[in-house]
Amino acid sequence: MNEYREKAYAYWLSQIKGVGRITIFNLIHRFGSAENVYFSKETCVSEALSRKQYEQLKESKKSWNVDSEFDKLSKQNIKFYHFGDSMYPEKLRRIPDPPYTLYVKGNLPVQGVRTMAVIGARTCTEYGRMAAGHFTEAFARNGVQIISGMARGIDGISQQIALNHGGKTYAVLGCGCNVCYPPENRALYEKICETGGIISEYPPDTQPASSLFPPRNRIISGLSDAVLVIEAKEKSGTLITVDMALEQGKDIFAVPGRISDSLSHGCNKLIRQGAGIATSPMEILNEIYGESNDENKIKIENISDDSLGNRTDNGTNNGNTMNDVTDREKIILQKVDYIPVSFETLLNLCRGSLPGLSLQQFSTELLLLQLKGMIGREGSHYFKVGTEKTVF
Amino acid sequence: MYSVITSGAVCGIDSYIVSVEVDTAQGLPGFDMVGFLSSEVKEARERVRVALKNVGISIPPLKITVNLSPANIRKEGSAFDFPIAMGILVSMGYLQEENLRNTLLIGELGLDGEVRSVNGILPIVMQAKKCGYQRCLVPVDNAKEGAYIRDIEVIGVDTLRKGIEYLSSTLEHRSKIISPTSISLENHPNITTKEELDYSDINGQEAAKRAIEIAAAGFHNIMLIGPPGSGKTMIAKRLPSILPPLSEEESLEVSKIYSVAGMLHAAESIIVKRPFLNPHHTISEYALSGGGRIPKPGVMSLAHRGVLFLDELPEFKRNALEIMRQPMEDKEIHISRSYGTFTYPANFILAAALNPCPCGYYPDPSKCICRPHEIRRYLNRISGPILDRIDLGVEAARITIANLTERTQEESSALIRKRVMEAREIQKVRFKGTEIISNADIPANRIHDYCSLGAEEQKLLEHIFITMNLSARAYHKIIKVARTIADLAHEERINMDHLSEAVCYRNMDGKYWGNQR
Repeated sequence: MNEYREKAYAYWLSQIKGVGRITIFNLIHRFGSAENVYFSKETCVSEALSRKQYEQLKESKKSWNVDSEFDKLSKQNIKFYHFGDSMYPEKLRRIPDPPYTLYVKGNLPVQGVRTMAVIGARTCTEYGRMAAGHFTEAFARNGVQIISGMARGIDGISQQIALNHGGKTYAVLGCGCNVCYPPENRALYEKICETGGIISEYPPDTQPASSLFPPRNRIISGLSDAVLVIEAKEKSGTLITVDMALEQGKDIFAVPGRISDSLSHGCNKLIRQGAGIATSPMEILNEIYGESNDENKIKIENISDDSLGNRTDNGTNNGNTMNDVTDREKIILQKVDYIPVSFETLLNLCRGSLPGLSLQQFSTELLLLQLKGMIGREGSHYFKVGTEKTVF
Repeated sequence: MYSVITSGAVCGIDSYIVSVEVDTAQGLPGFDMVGFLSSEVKEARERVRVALKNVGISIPPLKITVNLSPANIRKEGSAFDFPIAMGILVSMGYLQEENLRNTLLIGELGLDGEVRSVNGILPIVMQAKKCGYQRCLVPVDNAKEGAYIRDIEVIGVDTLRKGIEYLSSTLEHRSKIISPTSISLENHPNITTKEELDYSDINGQEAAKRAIEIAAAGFHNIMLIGPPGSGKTMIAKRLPSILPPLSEEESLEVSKIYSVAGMLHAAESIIVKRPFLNPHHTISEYALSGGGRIPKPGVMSLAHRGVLFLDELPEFKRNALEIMRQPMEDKEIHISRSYGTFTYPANFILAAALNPCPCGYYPDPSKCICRPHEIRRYLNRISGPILDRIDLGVEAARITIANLTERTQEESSALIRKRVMEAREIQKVRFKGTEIISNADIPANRIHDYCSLGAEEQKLLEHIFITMNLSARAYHKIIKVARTIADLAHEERINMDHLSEAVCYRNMDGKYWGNQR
């Protein structure tokens, strides 16, 4: 069987309206290959399909020029893989309900290299941002491939940070791989195309739709060795991915959060249910590289906790830039958090420790802290930022 | 016989003198009126005839011709009834023409001979004084309104009969019939009444209150952003209670607009409180700017020298908001119609209140359910040019239970007003001899003359400019607001504290406004 021909026929088969991957797997099972489906007797094919599906198939045989359409794909620089392909990722073969097709701009993740899925909430907090930075930086530096969904929030941030640190990252989309969604991640999209890959099971030009996103999550987890969840609400798309990862038998790690933060509820719940607690990237790296003596085992580059902006007891950051912080600033820094707090609330909090603090003095202090890059501002809400490294 | 009576009319906000010429002659009986008249002016014919009959004067069958001059301006309204009736009486010989010399007449007639109130008395009396007239006969309900103009006698006439009696007697006897109305601002019924709304009603919200104080002191436009129920509206509604009272000159200026709009009440007769207008967000652009064939003043003009409060700013029609761009810059609004261009003053503080996102809780991640693009779409309903014109942006924080239950001693409006007035005095001295009234009006090219910064402050501002990625406009606004803050502190120089406080009130840039990460 000519692999190239088979690809062209698989492409034809996958784009027929109303014929999903389950039907396709049935057909392949019955006829052996996509090419056979194309050339088999019509009566045989119709047995395996519903009436409507059969009509669609006949229709597309007429309108679809198998060779020229397939050429179009390669002209767009889109690589095409199908289940029967030798290049099809081994990891995906092993998951329940694997995708029949994969369209890729760029490359597929390198097989045999450790791969981590980093996922989380779209509306993330500064804490999530910081955690994403901390973990992905360590992963990227240790040659771990990062897989995510390029969504707003944690997904996009992790992938951006992986790129910033020279890591390889791959995005699995819920739309055609030539469609950039969300559009504001255009720059990130281009960059991932160049260095990693944009992967989708949907044909090119498919527009994003809410029904397409949950199924893509199984590919994210399927391509990875383990899944790191950074922030998730109690009911969220992130947890759908986790469910799929569990079904596929992957390791789950969750970044713990405070019980009062709704965006940490999902993660804390996962930990309670037995997920690994992600407190340091080293632990995760050790776990996924295991004790094996394999050649790939890299001596894990140790990452200091500086990028965490760890809070010590006196409320200052660990970094060495903190020497020029006055006592009053220390007190204010203690009150500022990763969750944005409004000016007024913060002022009242600080007055607890600094009685008689005037609004004017307070605004001066806040401004100076902002200029030093220790706190950030969103509207009139202030929040603590880790260090410059994590500001994205 | 022929007679001329003087009356007046308003066109836009300005008024002009109208000569009412009446000729009665033998001939085919009739009553003709000319002089570019609208239909309600022509209806005067019937009102005058019947009113005269009902006071016992029947008009013999004569050919009556009335001309309102200047004949090239279209005349509207019912204010010419009274002068026309008097003109007929003079031309018929009932009254002596010299008795009406230097006298301006205005008023609508009822069929029973009552003289009824009309709009625009204040500007007409002003104009009459300017043209050298000595007395005005106006409807009794409007008499107080006219009486605020000094050095001109204002006589309130209640019935046609009284008017005839007054005008037919000699000058010495007249005061026995109707004495001139006299009134002065000092004993205006409204001037001493206390403001009902006071800032002491609001617990907490220190930052928002402080920003409002700055807005009042420098006449800065202000925007209050905050979650639902945080008290944005309460704070804005109390703004008039800390603004300095209207000066006499300002009071007449504002009353003139209200007089033209027909919004002066007989009891009030003149506006002594700063206007506070709070239109609903369904307002049309014409209601905001002023409209009609001969445009009536719109809400923007009615808020002149006061506050225009737009609650739920993003809900306003975009067209309506865009109309405010030019008036907010020029402090007056020009409306062009086929009859000409009308100019109304519109120098107001814009106070706007809005939620930061459709659900109202952004950027609180535990409560906000909006997606970034929804927030952006919501805020994008307010265009950049409108935002540009707002100097202060402040967030009303969410109310805590402590705010509600604690009985704290909050500052009263009177105290804040005292500080505001002191800051205003400083500005008055600073801008003496220029067109500028307040810090908010300082044009960009004069900023360095009025708001000098020390080397250290300049360096800080440069640092802020770079780190916070400010626009040139934001830069100027920070300086202007810092100037007002320094004035409130009675400081000649703008120092670091003033600057950094001013920076605090800039949340319309950056993340709130669409530059989402």
